[in-house]
Amino acid sequence: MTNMIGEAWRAGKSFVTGLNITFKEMVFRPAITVFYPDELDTVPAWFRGIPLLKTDLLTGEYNCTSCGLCVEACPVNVITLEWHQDPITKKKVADRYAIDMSRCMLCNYCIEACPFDALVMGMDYELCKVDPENMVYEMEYLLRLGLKYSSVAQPGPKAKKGALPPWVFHELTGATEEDIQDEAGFLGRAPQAKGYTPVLKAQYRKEETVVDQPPAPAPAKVEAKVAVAPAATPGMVPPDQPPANPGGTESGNKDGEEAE
Amino acid sequence: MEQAKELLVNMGPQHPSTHGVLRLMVKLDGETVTWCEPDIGYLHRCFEKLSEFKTYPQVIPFTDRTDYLAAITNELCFVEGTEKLFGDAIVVPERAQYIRVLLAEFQRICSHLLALGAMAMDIGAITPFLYAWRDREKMYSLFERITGGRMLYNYLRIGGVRNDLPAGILGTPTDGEDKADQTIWGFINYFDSYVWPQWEALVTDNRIFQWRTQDVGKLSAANAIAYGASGAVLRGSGVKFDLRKNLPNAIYDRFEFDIPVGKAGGDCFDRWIVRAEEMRQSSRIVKQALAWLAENPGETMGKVPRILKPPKGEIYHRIEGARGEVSCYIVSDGGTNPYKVKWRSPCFVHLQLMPLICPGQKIADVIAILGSIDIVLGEVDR
Repeated sequence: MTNMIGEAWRAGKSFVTGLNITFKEMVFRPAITVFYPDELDTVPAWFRGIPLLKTDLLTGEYNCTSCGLCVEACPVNVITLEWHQDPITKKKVADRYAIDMSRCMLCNYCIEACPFDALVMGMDYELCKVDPENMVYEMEYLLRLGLKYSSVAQPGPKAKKGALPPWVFHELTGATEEDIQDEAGFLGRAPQAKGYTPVLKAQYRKEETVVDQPPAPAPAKVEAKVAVAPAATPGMVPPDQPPANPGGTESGNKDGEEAE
Repeated sequence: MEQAKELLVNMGPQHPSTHGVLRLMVKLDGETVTWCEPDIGYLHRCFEKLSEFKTYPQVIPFTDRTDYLAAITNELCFVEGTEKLFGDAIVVPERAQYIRVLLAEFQRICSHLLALGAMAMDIGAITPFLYAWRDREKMYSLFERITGGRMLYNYLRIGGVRNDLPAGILGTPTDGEDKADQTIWGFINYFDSYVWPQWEALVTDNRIFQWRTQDVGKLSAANAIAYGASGAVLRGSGVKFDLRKNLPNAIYDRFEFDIPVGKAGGDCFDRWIVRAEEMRQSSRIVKQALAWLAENPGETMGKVPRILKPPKGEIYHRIEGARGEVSCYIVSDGGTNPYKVKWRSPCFVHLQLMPLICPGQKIADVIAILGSIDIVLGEVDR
């Protein structure tokens, strides 16, 4: 009998202890809930979200050289790569670069395998799609998502050893299509021939003219721009046009150029 | 008319307290279990066969997914096994070794937190489970800062670890709770000063919880050894055997820690106590590793050939994972792919204890037993 009373006392005591702990937790401790759809949790800069394709902001070309190392490195074979060699530029052009995100396991091997800094692990973590077919991310979509990690990169193989860990390639630059510096550049542009020199847009060109002060090269540059611009017009995509322009003047410009 | 004496009850495959997709077939006589058999295979992903078609580095992300609650220890097992296969050709830098141990022990705390929380929830205490998730979330944000992934890290590499620890992740020994999700020291201090005492007061000392678990699901030491149990289940039965001490892999012989052993004959409460104690021992190891890592910068990746082709041979490597003895048997035929990978998962072995322990227990105790042996179905089926 005394044993039962003792047990009941102990049970009641532990019950009160539990209530005490939970009450303290409720009242005196900070709340840790993140109200997800309203506020997004922050992720570290090297978070492994989606593998995305990077763009060279100088010319708008994609960094990918269709070498296929990422395809080989992928343990689950989700990367599809089809390419052909351009007869004029002698460079490989990716006809199709698709990642099946429904099977991708975000292991980071493709990023580590890439020797040209063309892939980046994005920080987006909302990967849901209503239609499963949309889980195959095509090249254009990957490039568009990867634009905000892109920068004006010097072409060539990426540094293997640096201050940063080898898998921290991306800084969030927040670039948009407006930031492509080449006049003829556009998102998803195929790699250009080896000696290609980009003609920069006006706002980017200014800095260069300040750098080389001799007055003589400046007019030459303008001439070069005039010479190249019409040839490059057919390749341009609509987003390249300044959005502020009214439609009428735009078409008028085009007409004038064609007439020339 | 003949009256049926026994009733066959299916628990699962989607019973919420079965820790995954498990079907337990239980024969009941009244409320007493007379027969119990687990039915597994719902999560089979062909890991072992798949590994034969992947190169050695490509297998590492798959090992994450066997026991997804303690991914680092699985990676450690495969990576160390492969390094063993290479013999002296691959030398792992010391700093990488320390990082491995640090993360493995950190992962053990993380895994045990969930194990304890899930067991408490199985028994009916939902609050500890939420507290476990609260603290695990802090650990996961630390893992995320180190490795880039929250659960499935793919962080260890053959010959080292993928990258050094990011700056500032270690913290200083004075970091308090406010830095628990930013520095490892912060979490460890928070764990020692707040989390563990809270678990102690909330669950371990709780008389009602003790009633539910003491003298339930007893497993004798002889049976535990005979059935090949390992980890907390074996130590809960009173056998003092820990691979970290008895057959140290990595650099575990450099750390000071004790092996907790159950004293009441291997019931569910013993296993609980062993797990709770182990978390504290892991925290001790983590502190020692942190002290070393703060003072010794250096390389984290040894010299490794670009294409990994281990010499012909076979290797059996066993380590102490979070749930018990994780081991792998790798056969190499000299090519880039393993010829055969056999994975020994502790949960698979422990699940086979159910037919042994359960008969004679009450139906409600089956849940307590299942919680106490802490299975992850992903590892059972692989």
